[in-house]
Amino acid sequence: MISEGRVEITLPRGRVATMRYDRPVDVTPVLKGQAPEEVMPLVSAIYGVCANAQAHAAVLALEAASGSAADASTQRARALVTCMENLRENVLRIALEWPKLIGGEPEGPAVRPAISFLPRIRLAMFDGTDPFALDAAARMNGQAALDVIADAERLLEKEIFGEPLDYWLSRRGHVGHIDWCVSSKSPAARLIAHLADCGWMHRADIDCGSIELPGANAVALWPRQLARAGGLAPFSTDAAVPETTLFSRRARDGVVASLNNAGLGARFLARLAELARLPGEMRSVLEGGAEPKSVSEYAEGAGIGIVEAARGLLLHVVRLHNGHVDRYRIVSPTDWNFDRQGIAVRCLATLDGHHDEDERLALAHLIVNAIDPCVAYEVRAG
Amino acid sequence: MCLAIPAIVTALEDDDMAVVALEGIKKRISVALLDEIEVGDYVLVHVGYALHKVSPEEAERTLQLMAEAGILKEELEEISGGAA
Repeated sequence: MISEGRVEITLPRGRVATMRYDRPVDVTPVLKGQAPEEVMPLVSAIYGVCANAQAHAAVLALEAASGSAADASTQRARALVTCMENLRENVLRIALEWPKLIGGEPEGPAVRPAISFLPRIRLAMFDGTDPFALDAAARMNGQAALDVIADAERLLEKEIFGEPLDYWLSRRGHVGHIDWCVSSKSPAARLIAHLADCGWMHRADIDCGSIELPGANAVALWPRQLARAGGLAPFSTDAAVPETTLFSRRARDGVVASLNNAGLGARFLARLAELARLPGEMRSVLEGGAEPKSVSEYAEGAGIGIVEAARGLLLHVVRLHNGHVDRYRIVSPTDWNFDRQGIAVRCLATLDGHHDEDERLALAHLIVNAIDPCVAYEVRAG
Repeated sequence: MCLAIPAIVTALEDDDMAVVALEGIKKRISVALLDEIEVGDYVLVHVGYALHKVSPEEAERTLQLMAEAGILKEELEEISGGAA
């Protein structure tokens, strides 16, 4: 959808690929002048697809700007809601889009139960109240939460992996993944098999650094730089913009790291690793064994909220004046990854000089899908 | 950034497909992810799929917000084929 922004890749025959990323319409002017408690409903309404991650980042930023914070159980409950949204979104992407990358049909009906997971976890954690209200308080039903996480795990095992998640996560290296492709007929396995058959697992192997959470550098450095600039000048113009993708989030996971590269295969497997890890991580957060991965910090006169969204880190920066929003900035993962110095452009540059135009087009599609913009995209021959 | 526009279902078709409309502009989408969709329901549409049902009140509020934010006009261009 054009107002979401758009990525256009052009591959002129015999010449360097070009990429154009039009950022989404800036909706933040409608937030200016609003009281903090009025912001979250607006954010949730506008960003209907990843409404929870957006509202989560918003409430963290507004709490930081207001000098408040939710209690620990509410923070954990919010984290579970956002994690489940990540799970749902990546299940849908894999079931609906990966088959099309290899000439197949979307497999929507098989993953239909995933639609119910998010409302169920919200109900289990907040009993019908808004998780992202400034005065939200968790009302946890732990067993109900465990039940929906278990249902999510069963769906992943049946429709995405074709085997227990722990077993899949124990796979290592090319041989381990090929063995999985042979034994599983899921759309995900078929895509990885296709990459291996074509010899494309290692294509577009580029490392330009990553942004991570949690970590002292992440909290201390780049959000502060953003805040200092009023959230308006996020990126350096003379250096590679680091990536924030599911690959950067899961690159050190054994199932991904065992490939020893950052190629296409590793990028698609990283999204699978995200899915395979989420149920266990949600249980750990629920039981208090792990801290939510998010940032709520006040720096340089601004509140900063950062959450791990479905495609990478999502950042909200807000400045308040007399108790109302004065400036508001949202930086999505796509803003980093499809910047003109970002990971997408660098991966696409590896296709320069590729003489088979059809293959070049197919690889460009795979690169864009692997990095996964949250906007519509088009890849076309020049 | 994951925007999704509410549209009203105007017709149900075979194979979990439906026609939705917004301001008279129609588009064919999949409703394979949702249960019990009826003509007259509002749904959030994203990349060709209906993702959620929303109440008429919620849909109206969201459309009003999108209009204020300058989103709606461009969304309509997209739905009508004004952009690829």
